[in-house]
Amino acid sequence: MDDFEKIKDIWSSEKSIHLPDSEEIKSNIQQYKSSKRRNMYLLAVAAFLCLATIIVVIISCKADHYTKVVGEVLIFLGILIVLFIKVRSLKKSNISELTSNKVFLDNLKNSTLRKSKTSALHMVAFVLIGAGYAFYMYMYVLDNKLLMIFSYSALVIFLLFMYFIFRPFTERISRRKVKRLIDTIEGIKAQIKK
Amino acid sequence: MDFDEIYNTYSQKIFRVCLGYFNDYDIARDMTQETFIAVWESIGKFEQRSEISTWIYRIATNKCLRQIQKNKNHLKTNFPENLKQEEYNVEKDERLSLLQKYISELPEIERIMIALSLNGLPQEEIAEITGSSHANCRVMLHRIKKKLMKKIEDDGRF
Repeated sequence: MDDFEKIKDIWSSEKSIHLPDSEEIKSNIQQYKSSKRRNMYLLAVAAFLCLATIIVVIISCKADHYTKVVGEVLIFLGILIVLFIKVRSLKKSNISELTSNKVFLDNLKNSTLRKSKTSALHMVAFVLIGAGYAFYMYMYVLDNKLLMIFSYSALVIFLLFMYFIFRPFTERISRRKVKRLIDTIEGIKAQIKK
Repeated sequence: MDFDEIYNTYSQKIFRVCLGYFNDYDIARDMTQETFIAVWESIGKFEQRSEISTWIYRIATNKCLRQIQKNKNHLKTNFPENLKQEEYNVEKDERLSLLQKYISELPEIERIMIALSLNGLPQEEIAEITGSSHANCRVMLHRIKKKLMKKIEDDGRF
């Protein structure tokens, strides 16, 4: 067969496609929209409850030592940064599909690169939560030197492990994934230029 | 054009493009559904600067391309599932399955371009959807058609 028109005929000959009718699609859209709305409400309620709990704990628990308040505030700030990173990552995944394939691929690449750069903020959150915990536990271990040495040693070991072993490991995996995706996007973009 | 009319006019065409891209009946069906959810959500943004078909095909093809974020290795080189189970007109069905298989073996943009061309879209519209120049699109389509025809000829089962 050497006629492209004949191929077109074969391509159009497919009659056995069982797609849902428009009413079913509309009902699926309604379900999708209501589940999206429900998830948004649940996320908002969960975030509000989380923040309210932290505030109540800070206010109601009588701080015997200023280090405990400092610790709570630092942990609170760390959690806020983590929430901010999460919300920002959700927002950025919303790339417009109304553009041409070429522009879409450019936006997809930029979004991937932006996402890979959030690790600096992760580090700030990590340091804040770590330092916050160090301050927070100070008053509990103040009277017991052995417990203090043990607790702070454990905390330092944990932080060092996270910083020097876990962080490079996750960053390496993430970088590899980003590189693979960027290479794929570049490869597809090159097909348009060819 | 209301949503029902858009859906009835384009759903089968969009499905074919997605099937050509993925060579998988279920994924193509999901992609078609996702495309029309996006159409429903964005219909207010359609400014009639281009054809509605261009607009819908852009959404569908970008949805296909977005799958690289999820899994690059979705490509199947066997027959599309379910389609091979159809019993009637076996010869025609086999040729269609082979055609879909050959198309899904092409690089991503080539898959999109040839599927749009087989759907009867003019080169100007294909260029607008992919974002290439018209001249570039013409050359590419010529090359893709040749490549596809060679695959078909080499197979000998057509």
